[in-house]
Amino acid sequence: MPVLSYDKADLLSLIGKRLSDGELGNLLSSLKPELEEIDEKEVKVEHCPDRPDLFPIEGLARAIRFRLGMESYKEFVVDRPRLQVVVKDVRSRPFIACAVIRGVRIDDRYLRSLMQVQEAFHETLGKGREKVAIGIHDLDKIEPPIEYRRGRRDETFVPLGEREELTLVDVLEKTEKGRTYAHLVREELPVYVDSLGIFSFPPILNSERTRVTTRTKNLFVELTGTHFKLVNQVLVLLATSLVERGGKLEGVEVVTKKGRLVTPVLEKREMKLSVPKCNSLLGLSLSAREVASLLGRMGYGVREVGKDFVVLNVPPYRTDILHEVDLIEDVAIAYGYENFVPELPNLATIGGELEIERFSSSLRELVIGLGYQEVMLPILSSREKQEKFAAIEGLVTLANPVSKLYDCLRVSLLPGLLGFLALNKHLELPQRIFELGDVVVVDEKEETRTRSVRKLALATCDSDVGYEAIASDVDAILSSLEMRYRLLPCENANFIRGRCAEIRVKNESIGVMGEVNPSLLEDYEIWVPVVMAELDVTKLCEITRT
Amino acid sequence: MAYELTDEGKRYLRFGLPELRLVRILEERKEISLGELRSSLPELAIALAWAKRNGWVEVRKGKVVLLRSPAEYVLQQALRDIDEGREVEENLLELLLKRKLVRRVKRSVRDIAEEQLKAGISKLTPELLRSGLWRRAKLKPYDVRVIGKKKYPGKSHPYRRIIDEVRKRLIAMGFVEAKGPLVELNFWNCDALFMPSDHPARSIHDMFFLDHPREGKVLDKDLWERVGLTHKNGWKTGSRGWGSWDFPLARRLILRSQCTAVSARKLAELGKTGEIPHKMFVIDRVFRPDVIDAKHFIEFEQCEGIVVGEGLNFRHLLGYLSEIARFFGAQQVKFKPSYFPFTEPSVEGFAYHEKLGWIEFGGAGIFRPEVTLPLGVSCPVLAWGLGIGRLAMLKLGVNDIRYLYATDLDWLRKKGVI
Repeated sequence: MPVLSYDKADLLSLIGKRLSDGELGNLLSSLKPELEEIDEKEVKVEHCPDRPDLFPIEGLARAIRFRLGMESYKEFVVDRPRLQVVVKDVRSRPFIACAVIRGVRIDDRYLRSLMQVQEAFHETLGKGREKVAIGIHDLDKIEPPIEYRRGRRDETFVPLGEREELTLVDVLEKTEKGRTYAHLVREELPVYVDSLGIFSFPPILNSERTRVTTRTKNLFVELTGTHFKLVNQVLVLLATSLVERGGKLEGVEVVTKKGRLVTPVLEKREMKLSVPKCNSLLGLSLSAREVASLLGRMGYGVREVGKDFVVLNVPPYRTDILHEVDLIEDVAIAYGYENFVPELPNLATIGGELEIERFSSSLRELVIGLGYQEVMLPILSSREKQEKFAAIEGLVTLANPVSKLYDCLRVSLLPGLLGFLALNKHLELPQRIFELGDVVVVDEKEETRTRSVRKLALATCDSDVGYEAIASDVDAILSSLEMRYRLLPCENANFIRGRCAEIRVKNESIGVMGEVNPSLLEDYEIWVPVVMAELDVTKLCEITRT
Repeated sequence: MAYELTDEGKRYLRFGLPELRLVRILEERKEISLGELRSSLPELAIALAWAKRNGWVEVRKGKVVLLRSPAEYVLQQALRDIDEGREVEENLLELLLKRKLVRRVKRSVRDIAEEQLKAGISKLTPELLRSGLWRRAKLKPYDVRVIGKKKYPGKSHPYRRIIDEVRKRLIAMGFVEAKGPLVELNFWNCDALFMPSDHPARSIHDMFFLDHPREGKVLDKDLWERVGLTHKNGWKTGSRGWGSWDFPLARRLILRSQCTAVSARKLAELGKTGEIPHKMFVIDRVFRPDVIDAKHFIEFEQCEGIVVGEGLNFRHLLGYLSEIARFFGAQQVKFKPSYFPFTEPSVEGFAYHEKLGWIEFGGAGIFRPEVTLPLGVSCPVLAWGLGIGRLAMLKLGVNDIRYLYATDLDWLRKKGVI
């Protein structure tokens, strides 16, 4: 969840009311964001991703003004476009949306807010500028006609913060932003151009020429991206928050091969909320009038209050509203979560544990009784360690592991136990450990082409431990389960030849035990003999049930 | 263990073992008929059997013939040794026992106790107790402050104990335990939960995708279609939907990133069986890519539950959350708005901890109709999740998540069981 910090004085002045730190914190958390830190100058807020309209400081202040009843819903007016942008063939980020804001008064706070909101949207909805990149310019420094097209590698401009002209390739190689985002423009170099040349190189850098300063009177906002819906959404969020500081929003005509469109596209939405549904979901008994008033405090426009319904205008920046239940949550938020009286319903059901868990608990008790310490280890493991234990069906492997140590799911608990012993070599012997946990095997029959299997593994590490030690422990476990078993000598490269047995119950193989092969101990740099056993608990559990 | 001669053994000690006597007789006359021998040696059968086995004699045409005579007979010596209380070789002893010439004797408890006293025993023994001779024993005082070899009992993992406690309490509240696959279809993990295909938490930075195997199976085509339509246009849920749905992405296999996947599967099942009301919980492993350090690991436990029933509402959800917090010893709880992609309204619960102040203990909400209706459930579903790892760390007094999957045997050995 994005954490953003705001200039406290600016936030309070945008709210238009003096608030103590406590009051501000309570207000924020009664909406949805969480106050992280607050001091003399700064307010740090953690946001929920569903309310990007609260990311800009102006949007945050607006929500608080609504909440305090200082403001009510108003429609955003978009003036007719005076400016046109012609879109030529740009394939990697084909969609743009632009807007003009006229008559702004820009101070340092405004500048800071502009920087911050761009950053916030780039990182969240923009997915690191890949999906959406924003550029904000001084409109009066731009000389139309404006074109959005592919740039040539040797075309030059003075990027923001530079003194000299750089070619587009130089921008990618020599500027910090260029190096950071170069991977997004491998295909082509998109640029905005006016009659004086390039003034924006999305998603990398704007030009020094169109830099916004405290003398800027009119803003040109341009966005580029991979999906029009998202590009327009971010423009709406941005434009509707910036105009909260004053100025008039004006559309821009975007001309493409397919036709003409004025952006931003502000959707006028009306929704009808059923009051009985609202009450039944929240466990309240509010009147339609009360519901309307609560939603008014959440920034909705109330069009009509019926007997058991309310018709509302949904502000264009509330792109998170998909369903009636989203309105109902806003009723709850306005009502105040602290005002709900928690209540347990009269809903009798009979609880119960899973058979495999009950069985595992019995096994755990037995193994602990034999003096073993339980360990809990990761299910993710490394191919290198698990391959020795894998069946022919192979391992379940990851496409995007974060480390070679965890690039597959375990098929056996034994490598984990050996790894554990290797990490505790310095401690007193004997070391007796066990794990009861899940492994995952490939199984084409299953919906997920894999199957989780519960296993039990035991290991004893001691200077004079031998086969009979593990055999008598396994016998103790299986005898306590009143299970008749057979031991078959077996060949298993992980154990010493002739000191390894396959354990069979009802002619089904349910496990293996033996003295660990010294070559395996060498791999783990364990210099004390180890005996181990691994049992298939899922199978054992099935057998006990039949 | 002590041994003594049987009556037969005593006789042979005195007169010699039958086989030896036979040889002695034969030493005078090399051949004697069986009939003649029988009169001079009553134990002829025994004598012949052993003498033959020893390779001393042979029977030829009704006559016993001496082959060689032994200078010394170890078995005869052994009889003497036993009679005189000396130790004899194991195999000889066994032979004599088998021939019933020797038997095990129980020494009297008193004799043993006497011996123990003579040897200057320092421990109380059963013999001393039974014989009453303990009264004469000098049991010297020990330094009772000294503890011998350190012992480490077998124990369950501290985290396991906490998980089990939570399980028991939820079962007591009427919740039925559930489990789901660790390798999951993206469909169950995300799509069925109405997480849009381009949701940030579905990227390769937030979920593990499988390389092998890569794709799962579509078992219930109708269900997949309902879910797909809900994403595209809301289907019959009253929602506007997300405008698009990525079917190939839904088929991808991933490692379960949230136990809510288990809730989705359970709802689909309830949608078919209609076994409502129902309460379900799951405590199991989930996986998410992350940096690996004290605060983060790439797999951890989640505890989730759902309550399915007609007429359930937001206040009931808060009721369950309060009850769960109370189980953990929280005297005070508070709630604030929150966001989860699959619930609306959503809430976060905070419990008051004496030392740490308000701590977040879980998130909850009422499943969106876009989640429940395509799965075939039309009544409200309350869903909650518990930060069980964090609660466990708090309870265990550790601030490093790696203790929960501890590789430190010393810590496990020394950690108490309370």
